[in-house]
Amino acid sequence: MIEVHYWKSGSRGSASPYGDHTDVTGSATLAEKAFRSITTWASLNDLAFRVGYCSNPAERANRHEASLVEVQRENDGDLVHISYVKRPWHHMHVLYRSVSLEDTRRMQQHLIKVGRQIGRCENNDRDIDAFVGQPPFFVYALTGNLPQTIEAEAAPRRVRPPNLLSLF
Amino acid sequence: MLAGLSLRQFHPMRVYTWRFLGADAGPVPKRPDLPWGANELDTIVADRALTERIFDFLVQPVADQAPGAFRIGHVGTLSPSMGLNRDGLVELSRSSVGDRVNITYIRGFWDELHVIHRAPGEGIARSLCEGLINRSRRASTDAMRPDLRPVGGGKPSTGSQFIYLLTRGRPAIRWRPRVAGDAAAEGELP
Repeated sequence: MIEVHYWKSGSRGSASPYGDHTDVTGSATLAEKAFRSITTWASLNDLAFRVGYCSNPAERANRHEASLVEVQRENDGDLVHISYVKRPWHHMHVLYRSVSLEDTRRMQQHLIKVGRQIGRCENNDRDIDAFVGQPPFFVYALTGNLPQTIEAEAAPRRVRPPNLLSLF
Repeated sequence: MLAGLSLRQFHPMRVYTWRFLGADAGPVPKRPDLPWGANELDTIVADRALTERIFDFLVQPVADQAPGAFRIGHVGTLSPSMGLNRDGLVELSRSSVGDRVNITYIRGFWDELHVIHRAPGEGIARSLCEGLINRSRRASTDAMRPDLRPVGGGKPSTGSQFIYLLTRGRPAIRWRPRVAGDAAAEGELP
Protein backbone atom coordinates (compact mmCIF):
# COMPACT_ATOMS: atom_id res chain seq x y z
CA MET A 1 0.00 0.00 0.00
CA ILE A 2 1.05 3.59 -0.59
CA GLU A 3 -0.11 6.28 1.82
CA VAL A 4 -1.13 9.68 0.49
CA HIS A 5 -0.68 12.85 2.57
CA TYR A 6 -2.13 16.21 1.61
CA TRP A 7 -0.27 19.27 2.93
CA LYS A 8 -2.35 22.33 3.77
CA SER A 9 -1.32 25.75 5.04
CA GLY A 10 -1.83 26.25 8.75
CA SER A 11 -2.80 29.40 10.63
CA ARG A 12 0.79 30.04 11.81
CA GLY A 13 2.30 30.13 8.36
CA SER A 14 3.32 26.50 8.38
CA ALA A 15 2.23 23.51 6.35
CA SER A 16 0.85 20.37 7.92
CA PRO A 17 0.06 16.97 6.42
CA TYR A 18 -3.69 17.00 6.97
CA GLY A 19 -6.67 17.84 4.84
CA ASP A 20 -7.66 16.73 1.39
CA HIS A 21 -6.91 17.83 -2.14
CA THR A 22 -9.26 20.83 -1.87
CA ASP A 23 -7.14 22.60 0.75
CA VAL A 24 -3.63 21.79 -0.39
CA THR A 25 -1.51 24.89 0.01
CA GLY A 26 -1.09 27.26 -2.92
CA SER A 27 1.84 29.01 -1.29
CA ALA A 28 5.16 28.26 -2.99
CA THR A 29 7.08 29.19 0.17
CA LEU A 30 5.09 26.83 2.38
CA ALA A 31 5.25 24.04 -0.18
CA GLU A 32 9.02 24.35 -0.39
CA LYS A 33 9.27 24.39 3.40
CA ALA A 34 7.21 21.21 3.61
CA PHE A 35 9.26 19.65 0.81
CA ARG A 36 12.52 20.46 2.58
CA SER A 37 11.31 18.86 5.81
CA ILE A 38 10.13 15.72 3.98
CA THR A 39 13.26 15.28 1.90
CA THR A 40 15.62 16.05 4.77
CA TRP A 41 13.84 13.41 6.82
CA ALA A 42 13.98 11.03 3.87
CA SER A 43 17.69 11.62 3.38
CA LEU A 44 18.42 10.99 7.05
CA ASN A 45 16.63 7.66 6.70
CA ASP A 46 18.37 6.84 3.43
CA LEU A 47 15.14 7.06 1.44
CA ALA A 48 14.81 8.14 -2.17
CA PHE A 49 12.27 10.62 -3.46
CA ARG A 50 10.79 11.80 -6.74
CA VAL A 51 8.92 15.01 -7.60
CA GLY A 52 6.02 14.97 -10.05
CA TYR A 53 2.76 16.66 -10.88
CA CYS A 54 -0.74 15.52 -11.71
CA SER A 55 -4.27 16.83 -11.98
CA ASN A 56 -6.23 14.40 -9.85
CA PRO A 57 -4.13 12.69 -7.20
CA ALA A 58 -4.98 9.30 -5.80
CA GLU A 59 -7.09 8.74 -2.70
CA ARG A 60 -5.63 8.61 0.79
CA ALA A 61 -4.24 5.16 0.27
CA ASN A 62 -4.10 2.95 -2.74
CA ARG A 63 -2.59 -0.37 -3.52
CA HIS A 64 0.30 -1.11 -5.78
CA GLU A 65 -0.43 -2.80 -9.08
CA ALA A 66 2.58 -5.07 -9.46
CA SER A 67 5.36 -2.47 -9.08
CA LEU A 68 3.21 0.46 -10.21
CA VAL A 69 1.88 3.23 -7.98
CA GLU A 70 -1.24 5.14 -9.01
CA VAL A 71 -0.67 8.90 -9.03
CA GLN A 72 -3.53 10.16 -11.14
CA ARG A 73 -6.99 9.00 -12.15
CA GLU A 74 -9.23 10.73 -14.63
CA ASN A 75 -12.78 9.72 -15.44
CA ASP A 76 -14.02 10.41 -18.94
CA GLY A 77 -17.50 8.96 -19.27
CA ASP A 78 -17.11 5.21 -19.13
CA LEU A 79 -13.39 5.49 -19.82
CA VAL A 80 -10.91 5.70 -16.97
CA HIS A 81 -7.36 6.94 -17.57
CA ILE A 82 -4.94 6.04 -14.79
CA SER A 83 -1.31 7.13 -14.64
CA TYR A 84 1.13 5.09 -12.64
CA VAL A 85 4.73 5.61 -11.62
CA LYS A 86 7.01 2.60 -11.75
CA ARG A 87 8.79 1.25 -8.66
CA PRO A 88 7.28 0.60 -5.23
CA TRP A 89 7.14 4.01 -3.57
CA HIS A 90 5.69 4.07 -0.05
CA HIS A 91 4.43 7.61 0.52
CA MET A 92 2.98 10.31 -1.69
CA HIS A 93 3.03 13.88 -0.35
CA VAL A 94 0.77 16.30 -2.23
CA LEU A 95 2.48 19.63 -1.61
CA TYR A 96 1.30 22.36 -3.91
CA ARG A 97 -1.85 23.32 -5.76
CA SER A 98 -2.27 25.69 -8.69
CA VAL A 99 -4.72 26.32 -11.51
CA SER A 100 -1.89 27.12 -13.90
CA LEU A 101 -0.05 24.25 -15.58
CA GLU A 102 2.97 26.46 -16.30
CA ASP A 103 3.14 27.48 -12.66
CA THR A 104 2.90 23.84 -11.60
CA ARG A 105 5.71 22.79 -13.95
CA ARG A 106 7.88 25.66 -12.71
CA MET A 107 7.30 24.60 -9.12
CA GLN A 108 8.16 20.99 -9.92
CA GLN A 109 11.42 22.03 -11.59
CA HIS A 110 12.29 24.24 -8.63
CA LEU A 111 11.67 21.42 -6.15
CA ILE A 112 13.76 19.03 -8.25
CA LYS A 113 16.65 21.50 -8.03
CA VAL A 114 16.19 21.80 -4.26
CA GLY A 115 15.85 18.02 -3.93
CA ARG A 116 19.09 17.35 -5.78
CA GLN A 117 20.94 19.48 -3.25
CA ILE A 118 19.39 17.61 -0.34
CA GLY A 119 19.58 13.93 -1.20
CA ARG A 120 18.52 11.07 -3.47
CA CYS A 121 16.25 12.83 -5.92
CA GLU A 122 15.37 10.15 -8.47
CA ASN A 123 14.05 12.45 -11.19
CA ASN A 124 15.77 12.26 -14.50
CA ASP A 125 15.17 13.88 -17.85
CA ARG A 126 13.50 10.80 -19.36
CA ASP A 127 10.69 10.88 -16.79
CA ILE A 128 7.99 12.96 -18.38
CA ASP A 129 4.79 13.83 -16.55
CA ALA A 130 2.85 14.26 -19.76
CA PHE A 131 -0.88 13.83 -19.43
CA VAL A 132 -4.17 15.38 -20.35
CA GLY A 133 -5.96 16.75 -17.32
CA GLN A 134 -8.07 19.56 -15.98
CA PRO A 135 -7.00 22.14 -13.38
CA PRO A 136 -6.26 22.37 -10.52
CA PHE A 137 -2.84 20.79 -10.80
CA PHE A 138 -0.81 19.38 -7.93
CA VAL A 139 2.89 18.92 -7.27
CA TYR A 140 3.72 15.82 -5.28
CA ALA A 141 6.75 14.09 -3.82
CA LEU A 142 7.03 10.31 -3.64
CA THR A 143 9.30 8.80 -1.01
CA GLY A 144 10.37 5.23 -0.55
CA ASN A 145 13.05 2.82 0.46
CA LEU A 146 14.31 1.97 -2.99
CA PRO A 147 17.43 -0.05 -3.68
CA GLN A 148 20.50 2.01 -4.45
CA THR A 149 21.36 2.23 -8.11
CA ILE A 150 25.05 2.00 -8.89
CA GLU A 151 26.31 4.08 -11.75
CA ALA A 152 28.41 2.14 -14.21
CA GLU A 153 31.38 4.48 -13.73
CA ALA A 154 31.15 4.37 -9.95
CA ALA A 155 30.79 0.59 -9.76
CA PRO A 156 33.90 -1.20 -8.56
CA ARG A 157 35.87 -2.59 -11.45
CA ARG A 158 36.55 -6.26 -11.53
CA VAL A 159 40.25 -6.88 -10.93
CA ARG A 160 41.74 -9.22 -13.47
CA PRO A 161 43.63 -12.18 -12.06
CA PRO A 162 47.36 -12.01 -12.80
CA ASN A 163 48.46 -13.73 -15.94
CA LEU A 164 50.70 -16.55 -14.76
CA LEU A 165 52.48 -16.69 -18.09
CA SER A 166 53.75 -13.18 -17.56
CA LEU A 167 55.59 -14.34 -14.44
CA PHE A 168 57.89 -16.55 -16.48
CA MET B 1 -14.22 -19.05 -1.61
CA LEU B 2 -10.72 -17.65 -1.77
CA ALA B 3 -10.06 -14.74 0.55
CA GLY B 4 -9.61 -11.36 -1.08
CA LEU B 5 -10.91 -12.42 -4.48
CA SER B 6 -14.23 -11.45 -5.93
CA LEU B 7 -16.28 -12.94 -8.72
CA ARG B 8 -15.90 -9.77 -10.79
CA GLN B 9 -12.24 -10.38 -11.35
CA PHE B 10 -13.01 -13.66 -13.07
CA HIS B 11 -15.58 -12.34 -15.51
CA PRO B 12 -14.52 -14.05 -18.71
CA MET B 13 -13.51 -11.81 -21.59
CA ARG B 14 -12.86 -13.19 -25.05
CA VAL B 15 -10.36 -11.15 -27.05
CA TYR B 16 -10.02 -11.45 -30.82
CA THR B 17 -8.08 -9.73 -33.54
CA TRP B 18 -9.47 -9.69 -37.04
CA ARG B 19 -6.71 -10.43 -39.51
CA PHE B 20 -6.59 -10.44 -43.25
CA LEU B 21 -4.71 -13.52 -44.34
CA GLY B 22 -5.02 -13.10 -48.09
CA ALA B 23 -7.75 -12.97 -50.74
CA ASP B 24 -8.45 -16.71 -50.44
CA ALA B 25 -8.88 -16.76 -46.70
CA GLY B 26 -10.60 -13.37 -46.19
CA PRO B 27 -10.75 -11.76 -42.76
CA VAL B 28 -10.70 -14.21 -39.87
CA PRO B 29 -10.93 -13.65 -36.11
CA LYS B 30 -8.02 -15.05 -34.17
CA ARG B 31 -7.13 -15.14 -30.55
CA PRO B 32 -4.25 -12.70 -30.11
CA ASP B 33 -0.82 -13.75 -29.02
CA LEU B 34 -0.14 -11.45 -26.11
CA PRO B 35 2.05 -9.48 -25.80
CA TRP B 36 1.44 -8.24 -29.31
CA GLY B 37 3.85 -9.39 -31.95
CA ALA B 38 4.74 -7.07 -34.83
CA ASN B 39 3.61 -9.71 -37.34
CA GLU B 40 0.22 -9.87 -35.72
CA LEU B 41 -0.32 -6.12 -35.78
CA ASP B 42 0.65 -5.94 -39.43
CA THR B 43 -2.02 -8.44 -40.46
CA ILE B 44 -4.94 -6.74 -38.71
CA VAL B 45 -7.57 -5.73 -41.26
CA ALA B 46 -6.79 -2.33 -42.78
CA ASP B 47 -9.47 -2.28 -45.48
CA ARG B 48 -12.51 -0.14 -44.72
CA ALA B 49 -15.01 -2.30 -46.60
CA LEU B 50 -13.84 -5.44 -44.82
CA THR B 51 -14.08 -3.72 -41.44
CA GLU B 52 -17.64 -2.65 -42.20
CA ARG B 53 -18.47 -6.24 -43.06
CA ILE B 54 -16.93 -7.48 -39.81
CA PHE B 55 -18.76 -4.78 -37.89
CA ASP B 56 -22.12 -5.84 -39.34
CA PHE B 57 -21.38 -9.46 -38.54
CA LEU B 58 -20.54 -8.68 -34.93
CA VAL B 59 -23.15 -6.05 -34.19
CA GLN B 60 -26.19 -7.50 -35.95
CA PRO B 61 -26.95 -10.13 -33.28
CA VAL B 62 -26.91 -7.55 -30.48
CA ALA B 63 -28.35 -4.52 -32.28
CA ASP B 64 -31.90 -5.46 -31.29
CA GLN B 65 -30.95 -5.73 -27.65
CA ALA B 66 -30.90 -2.98 -25.08
CA PRO B 67 -28.72 0.07 -25.83
CA GLY B 68 -25.19 -0.35 -24.59
CA ALA B 69 -24.73 -3.88 -25.88
CA PHE B 70 -21.69 -2.75 -27.83
CA ARG B 71 -19.19 0.08 -27.88
CA ILE B 72 -16.61 1.24 -30.36
CA GLY B 73 -13.47 3.34 -30.02
CA HIS B 74 -9.85 3.57 -31.03
CA VAL B 75 -6.52 3.47 -29.23
CA GLY B 76 -2.95 4.17 -30.27
CA THR B 77 -1.19 1.50 -28.24
CA LEU B 78 -2.68 -1.92 -27.62
CA SER B 79 -2.06 -3.20 -24.12
CA PRO B 80 -0.14 -6.44 -23.58
CA SER B 81 -2.86 -7.34 -21.10
CA MET B 82 -5.75 -6.07 -23.22
CA GLY B 83 -9.13 -7.29 -22.01
CA LEU B 84 -7.95 -7.98 -18.48
CA ASN B 85 -10.83 -7.22 -16.12
CA ARG B 86 -9.85 -5.78 -12.76
CA ASP B 87 -12.58 -4.64 -10.37
CA GLY B 88 -14.96 -3.82 -13.19
CA LEU B 89 -12.35 -2.03 -15.30
CA VAL B 90 -11.31 -3.59 -18.60
CA GLU B 91 -7.83 -2.70 -19.80
CA LEU B 92 -7.65 -1.28 -23.33
CA SER B 93 -4.45 0.66 -23.81
CA ARG B 94 -1.10 0.86 -22.05
CA SER B 95 1.78 3.16 -22.92
CA SER B 96 4.98 3.88 -21.08
CA VAL B 97 7.04 7.09 -21.08
CA GLY B 98 10.08 7.13 -18.82
CA ASP B 99 8.93 5.90 -15.43
CA ARG B 100 5.30 6.80 -16.12
CA VAL B 101 2.77 4.21 -17.28
CA ASN B 102 -0.56 5.42 -18.65
CA ILE B 103 -3.36 2.87 -18.81
CA THR B 104 -6.83 3.41 -20.21
CA TYR B 105 -9.66 1.24 -18.95
CA ILE B 106 -13.32 1.02 -19.80
CA ARG B 107 -15.98 0.42 -17.20
CA GLY B 108 -18.56 -2.32 -17.33
CA PHE B 109 -18.73 -5.99 -18.01
CA TRP B 110 -18.24 -7.11 -21.57
CA ASP B 111 -18.14 -10.53 -23.14
CA GLU B 112 -15.97 -9.93 -26.18
CA LEU B 113 -13.32 -7.48 -27.29
CA HIS B 114 -12.56 -7.34 -31.01
CA VAL B 115 -9.74 -5.41 -32.66
CA ILE B 116 -11.33 -4.83 -36.06
CA HIS B 117 -9.20 -2.28 -37.89
CA ARG B 118 -5.72 -0.81 -38.19
CA ALA B 119 -5.75 2.79 -39.39
CA PRO B 120 -2.62 4.73 -40.37
CA GLY B 121 -3.59 7.81 -38.34
CA GLU B 122 -5.98 9.29 -35.86
CA GLY B 123 -8.07 11.24 -38.37
CA ILE B 124 -8.83 8.15 -40.44
CA ALA B 125 -9.66 6.10 -37.35
CA ARG B 126 -12.00 8.80 -36.12
CA SER B 127 -13.84 9.09 -39.42
CA LEU B 128 -14.20 5.32 -39.69
CA CYS B 129 -15.59 5.14 -36.14
CA GLU B 130 -18.12 7.79 -36.99
CA GLY B 131 -19.01 5.98 -40.22
CA LEU B 132 -19.61 2.76 -38.32
CA ILE B 133 -21.81 4.57 -35.83
CA ASN B 134 -23.92 6.02 -38.62
CA ARG B 135 -24.11 2.57 -40.13
CA SER B 136 -25.77 1.22 -37.03
CA ARG B 137 -28.95 3.30 -36.98
CA ARG B 138 -30.71 1.37 -34.31
CA ALA B 139 -27.99 1.76 -31.71
CA SER B 140 -28.33 4.64 -29.31
CA THR B 141 -25.83 7.46 -29.78
CA ASP B 142 -24.71 7.32 -26.18
CA ALA B 143 -23.98 3.61 -26.27
CA MET B 144 -21.97 4.05 -29.43
CA ARG B 145 -20.05 7.12 -28.34
CA PRO B 146 -16.61 6.66 -29.84
CA ASP B 147 -13.48 7.25 -27.87
CA LEU B 148 -12.17 10.21 -29.80
CA ARG B 149 -9.58 11.21 -27.26
CA PRO B 150 -5.95 10.47 -28.03
CA VAL B 151 -4.70 7.87 -25.60
CA GLY B 152 -1.16 7.41 -24.41
CA GLY B 153 1.07 10.04 -22.92
CA GLY B 154 -1.45 12.78 -23.54
CA LYS B 155 -0.13 13.51 -26.99
CA PRO B 156 -1.86 12.63 -30.25
CA SER B 157 -0.40 9.43 -31.55
CA THR B 158 1.36 9.66 -34.89
CA GLY B 159 1.46 5.91 -35.48
CA SER B 160 -1.23 3.35 -36.19
CA GLN B 161 -4.61 3.56 -34.51
CA PHE B 162 -6.53 0.40 -33.71
CA ILE B 163 -10.31 0.33 -33.67
CA TYR B 164 -11.83 -1.89 -31.03
CA LEU B 165 -15.37 -3.12 -30.56
CA LEU B 166 -16.76 -4.37 -27.26
CA THR B 167 -19.87 -6.53 -27.30
CA ARG B 168 -22.15 -7.97 -24.70
CA GLY B 169 -24.70 -10.76 -25.15
CA ARG B 170 -23.48 -11.83 -28.58
CA PRO B 171 -23.54 -15.52 -29.48
CA ALA B 172 -20.03 -16.92 -29.36
CA ILE B 173 -18.13 -17.25 -32.62
CA ARG B 174 -18.36 -20.76 -34.04
CA TRP B 175 -14.90 -22.12 -34.59
CA ARG B 176 -14.00 -24.24 -37.58
CA PRO B 177 -10.65 -25.78 -38.36
CA ARG B 178 -9.08 -24.18 -41.40
CA VAL B 179 -5.84 -26.13 -41.27
CA ALA B 180 -5.57 -29.71 -40.10
CA GLY B 181 -4.27 -29.79 -36.56
CA ASP B 182 -5.17 -26.15 -36.01
CA ALA B 183 -8.70 -26.72 -34.73
CA ALA B 184 -10.41 -23.85 -32.96
CA ALA B 185 -7.85 -21.40 -34.26
CA GLU B 186 -10.08 -19.40 -36.54
CA GLY B 187 -13.63 -18.14 -36.49
CA GLU B 188 -16.23 -17.91 -39.17
CA LEU B 189 -17.37 -14.89 -41.13
CA PRO B 190 -20.34 -15.44 -43.45
